[in-house]
Amino acid sequence: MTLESCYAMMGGDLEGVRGRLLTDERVAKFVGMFPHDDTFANLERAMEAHALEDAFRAAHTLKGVSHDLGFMPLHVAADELTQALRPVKEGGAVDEAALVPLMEAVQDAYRTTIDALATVNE
Amino acid sequence: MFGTMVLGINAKLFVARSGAGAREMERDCWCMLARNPNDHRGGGYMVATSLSKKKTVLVVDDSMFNRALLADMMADEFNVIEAENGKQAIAAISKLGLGISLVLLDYVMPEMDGFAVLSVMQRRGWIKDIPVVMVSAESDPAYIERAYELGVTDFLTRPFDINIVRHRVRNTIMLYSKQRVLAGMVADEINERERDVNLMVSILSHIVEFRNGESGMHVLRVRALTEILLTCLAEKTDAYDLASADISTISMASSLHDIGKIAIAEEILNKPGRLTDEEFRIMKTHSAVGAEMLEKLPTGQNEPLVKTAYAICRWHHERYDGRGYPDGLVGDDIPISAQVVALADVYDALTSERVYKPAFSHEKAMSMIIGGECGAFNPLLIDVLRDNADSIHGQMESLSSDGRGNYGTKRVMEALADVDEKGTTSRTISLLDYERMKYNFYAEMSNEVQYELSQDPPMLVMSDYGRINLGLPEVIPDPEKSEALIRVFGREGVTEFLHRMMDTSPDDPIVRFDMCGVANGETRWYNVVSRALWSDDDKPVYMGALGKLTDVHDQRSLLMDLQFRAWHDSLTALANHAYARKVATERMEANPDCLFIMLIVDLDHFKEANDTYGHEFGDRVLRYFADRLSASVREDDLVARIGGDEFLVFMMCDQETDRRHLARRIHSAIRSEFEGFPVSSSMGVACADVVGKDYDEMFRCADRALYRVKRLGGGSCSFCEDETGPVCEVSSLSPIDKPERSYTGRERRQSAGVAKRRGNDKS
Repeated sequence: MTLESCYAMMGGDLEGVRGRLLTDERVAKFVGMFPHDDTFANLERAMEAHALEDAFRAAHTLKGVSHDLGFMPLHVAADELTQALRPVKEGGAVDEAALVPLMEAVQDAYRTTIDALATVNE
Repeated sequence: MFGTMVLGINAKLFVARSGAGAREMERDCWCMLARNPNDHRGGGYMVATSLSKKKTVLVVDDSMFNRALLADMMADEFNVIEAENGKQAIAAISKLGLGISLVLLDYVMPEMDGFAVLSVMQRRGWIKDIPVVMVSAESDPAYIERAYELGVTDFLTRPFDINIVRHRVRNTIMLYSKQRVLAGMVADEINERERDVNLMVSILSHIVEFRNGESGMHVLRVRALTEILLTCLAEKTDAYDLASADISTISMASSLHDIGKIAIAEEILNKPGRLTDEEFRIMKTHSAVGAEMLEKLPTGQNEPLVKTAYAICRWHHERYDGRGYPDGLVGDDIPISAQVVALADVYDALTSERVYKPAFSHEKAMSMIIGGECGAFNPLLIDVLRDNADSIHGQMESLSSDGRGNYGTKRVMEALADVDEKGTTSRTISLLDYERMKYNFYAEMSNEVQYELSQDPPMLVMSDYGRINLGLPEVIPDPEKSEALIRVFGREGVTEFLHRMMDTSPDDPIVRFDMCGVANGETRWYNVVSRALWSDDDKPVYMGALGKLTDVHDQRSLLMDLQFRAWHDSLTALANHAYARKVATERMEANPDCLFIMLIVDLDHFKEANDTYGHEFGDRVLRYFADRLSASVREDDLVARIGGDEFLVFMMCDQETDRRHLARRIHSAIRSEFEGFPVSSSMGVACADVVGKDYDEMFRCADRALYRVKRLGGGSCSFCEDETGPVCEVSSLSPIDKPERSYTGRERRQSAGVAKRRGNDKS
């Protein structure tokens, strides 16, 4: 499958990415790297262990990476989780119950993204 | 040029670190990573993406993906090196310095975040020379504000756009290079100006002095003393608001204090005898005349130097009590510059030789000034003079001995020569680059581990040789808790290593010691030489250390080998007699409650073995016997060869040991046969509790017991107390009642001592 259909499947912004990274070759290279990146795994591990500061860092990284690659639904979900976790950074309290749906949204978006990427790699 | 060379070396280091071949590296490092990102984990911390002479950009980000993306975007134009966290970033900057043209810094990172890196860069003054562009998805104005405050040049916001990244990096580097060049030019310009002004003042004041028939030293000495007095005065009080710029202006202007003398007729100026009243009146006009000359300068009257010189010229003959000339000013109406120069002028006049007087000593001059014989001065200045008398004396003396009269001229020549030289600022930078290159080169060439230790953040950075040889990472954050470091040097070794340096003082910052380390599974000795770094604060703070670790294992082994040879018998490798005596004596002193037994063993019929089968066979018998004897006793027992066929065993036992049984067991254990030659021995035994804890006495007694066995035909074992002699009697049941026979003085003392000890034991 082509990059176009893959991005369409996940609701990504391919034109934006093309504008920023200039060549399809480069886009494909980094899109191909994404499934091997361990940021999402780190995020899940940190959330399970209630290591909120690590979780904040991972969410923050995921938000940035997904933004760079134009994975918009994942970017939006990661951004919301990052904002909810931000008080940890400033030593404030976090409503852990409120994090659950936000994390689920990230997981959903991640799965959709990975599924879409799998079609390209085939 | 130097910068390029430094980069060359560093690039090589990075290749070595990554463990990949240079050719592969050049091709496209990131393609390899992209194919198998897992390979990268746990590997070297930095990777060079190219070996060309491009500018180097350091990317600091904990996300491998982000580093890869940025590196890919910049790879065409720049060398990209990477750090996974703040500590690695600091290590890279300490190592490469201006070799890094720009830092792309992430804000959210574990260990040490972007702000912490910025703080360190600011504290160490790097932020002035190395631009930092912050990369972050943060858009919170508070973060941006803080980052700018900490010296960040610009921001790159997500998502990254390749054109923006490239242009921003390129422009920032260009801006900084230009700024660096400009700053250098301005600094050189200022330095040059200052040199020119100094030169002019110097020439001018010397014209006056030469006309005056003086050596040229007077101006220099007044200037030096003015500077000393002002510096001390500024430390003592802030009443005169003397900044260091003021002090240097006043000092420079002091050189002009006598320019008015140019208008005085030479006959008066150089008259050897006493001046008439009229002549003195004319002479006194030099202060007002000098001031007038400055006042009538066509330009520059508002320059601080000229204004200050005016005050000094006009009022350096005023007195604090108002009885001076030309204006009769009183107290602090006289500008402080003129007051200080007046004092310096008087001190120098007193301590120098003049046509009408010899030179007075420093002490004499001081007492005359303080006693009010040479005018009236500000009491505060007199205090300053008195409080700093020793240092003034010392500095003025060294000025005289350095100068030898033509100091001024020499300096003029030097100043002239300097003007043509290359700009100082750019020179300093290239020197720094050169030093860095030298350091890197030597670190690679010498078989030493060089290191830098910093306290804040706690971090140990080692040269490449250290990494290869000790199997340590180049950068070790938190060394006290580093598993890798502990594996090499042990927990105690690491703690001691770190604390030795902390325990130094700023006055005595160098430590040397040996420590053991395990390299490639082998324990080796290292010599450590380290210099602790202390801050310049009033209360110095320990900041870290520089040092090197040299492998001295072979040297030390040689030394230990020599020592071994000195203490051991070359044929059997057993201890020799001297060593046995030393060790036995030490053991007895260290273990007062133990029982000690000495056996002297003589090989029976050894002479026959030698005579019948030859010396080579004799030697083999001795070696065999030595092994057999060693095998018959415990490992801790001391076995020595003390003569041709005589051996010694020294044992430590507890009080319950059955000594006779022990000796007999050993005696029978060593009875055997060697290649048809019957090995049997004679043995004499002495126990410390019987004859006293004295090595020589034990030896004599055991030897005597052995002699008895030998006389009776050998092949058996005898205790010295079994002997029908004095020692035997003393040591049998009733020691005190025995008759004294052929005792030597020593034996008598010894037996008395034994008797007393035994008596104590009973009580």
